Amino acid sequence: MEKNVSINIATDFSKNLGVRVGPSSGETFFEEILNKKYIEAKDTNRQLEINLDGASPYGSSFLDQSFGKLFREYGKDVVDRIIFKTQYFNWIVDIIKQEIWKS
Amino acid sequence: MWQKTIILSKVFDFKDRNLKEMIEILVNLSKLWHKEIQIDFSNIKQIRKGDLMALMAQLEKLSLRQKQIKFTGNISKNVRDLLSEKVVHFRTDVLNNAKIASEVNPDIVENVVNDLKVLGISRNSIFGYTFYERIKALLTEIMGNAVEHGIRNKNINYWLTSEIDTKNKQIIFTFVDMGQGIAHSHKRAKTFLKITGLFSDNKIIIDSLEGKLPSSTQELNRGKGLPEIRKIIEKKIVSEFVLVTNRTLVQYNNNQFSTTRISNFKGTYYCWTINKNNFEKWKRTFQ
Repeated sequence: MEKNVSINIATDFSKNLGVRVGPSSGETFFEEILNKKYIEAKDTNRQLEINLDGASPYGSSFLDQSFGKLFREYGKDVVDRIIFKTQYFNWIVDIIKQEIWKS
Repeated sequence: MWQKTIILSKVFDFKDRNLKEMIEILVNLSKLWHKEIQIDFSNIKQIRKGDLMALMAQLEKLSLRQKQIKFTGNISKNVRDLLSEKVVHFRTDVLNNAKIASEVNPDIVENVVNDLKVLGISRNSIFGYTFYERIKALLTEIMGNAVEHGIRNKNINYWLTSEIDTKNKQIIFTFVDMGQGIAHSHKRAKTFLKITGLFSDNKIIIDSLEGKLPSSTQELNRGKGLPEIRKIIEKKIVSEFVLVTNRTLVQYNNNQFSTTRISNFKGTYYCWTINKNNFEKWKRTFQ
C-alpha cells in the first residue's frame, strides 16, 4: 500500500505560527505547502496526513486562511482526504471540522 | 493657553468601579487642542500597570499630533515602580516590561503567556499545554485584529502586558490598541446594515461576539475571531473580562455579557484575569 502524503507543520513550515497574512501566516502555509501537498495527494489518490503538534498558536485566522481556503477551493474532497495527527490539538481539529469546513 | 494639565484622580484602575471615569479621561485627552499636555500623577494612590499602559498608548497617539507630553507631580512609589524614570517626557519605552509592537509577534505572546507558571500551571501535562495554547491563540487573534483593522499605516503600536496579582492569586492580562475600534470598522464597512439594520455600537459588538455579523472585510468566511473569544470567556478559561471599544463597554459577569454605553473611545481595550480556578474548570471539562 502506498504511503500517505504528509505534512509536519512544525518541521516543514514553522513552530511559531502567525495570523491570516504576514510572517508564518495561514496564507503562506497554504501557498507554500498545504495546497501543493493536497494536489499531490489528490493526483495520486492518497490521504494527506497532517501533524499539528509542535507548532502554535492555531488562531482562527490562520486556520481559515489555510484549511478554510483549501476547503473553499476543493470542496468536500478535502474533508475526506485529510487526516490530522495530534496529541495536543484535538480541540483545533474540532474547530477545523465543525467551523472552518462549514464556511 | 497652549498648555493643559490633566490631574489624574486617586484611583486609575479600569477594574475599579470608576471604570467609566477612567475611559472619560482617555477620551478627553484625545480631544485636547493644547500643544503641551502635562499629566499630573500627584493624587494617584492606586494604579494598575495595564491601565497606565492604556494611558501611554493614548499619549503615543497624541504625540503623533506634535503634542508635547510631560509627567508632573509627586509620583508615588507605586507609579515610579511602573515607570522607568521618576519624571519623564513621553517615550514609548517609558513603561517597564510592557510589550509594544506594530506587527504580530509570537515571541511577545510566548513571553506573556509564560507568566501562567506563577499559578502553578505547567506545560508538562496535556491539560497544561492545551491551556497555554488556548491563551496563546486568544492573544494572537487579538493582535492580528489590532494590526489588520486598527493600527496598520497609523504609526502606532499595540500594547500588551501581564501583571501578577499576588493578593488575589491571579494574572491580569491587558491589551490595548488605539486604532479605530471594532464598532467603527464595522460602521465603515456597513456590515451591520446587511444583517440587522441597527446602528448601536452595543448591538454591533454583541452581534460580532455571537458570530451574527460578518467580518468588516465583508468576506463571509471571516469574522470568527470574536466568536472564538466569546467561547473562551463562556468556558471560563478567563475571568473578569472587560472590552472597551468605541461607545461600548462589555463585561462578562454571572454567566452573561452586559454592555454599557460610554463616550467614544477610539481604540480597543481588552482586560481579563486568569486564576487557578480557570485552569481547574478547564481541566474538568475533559474528565
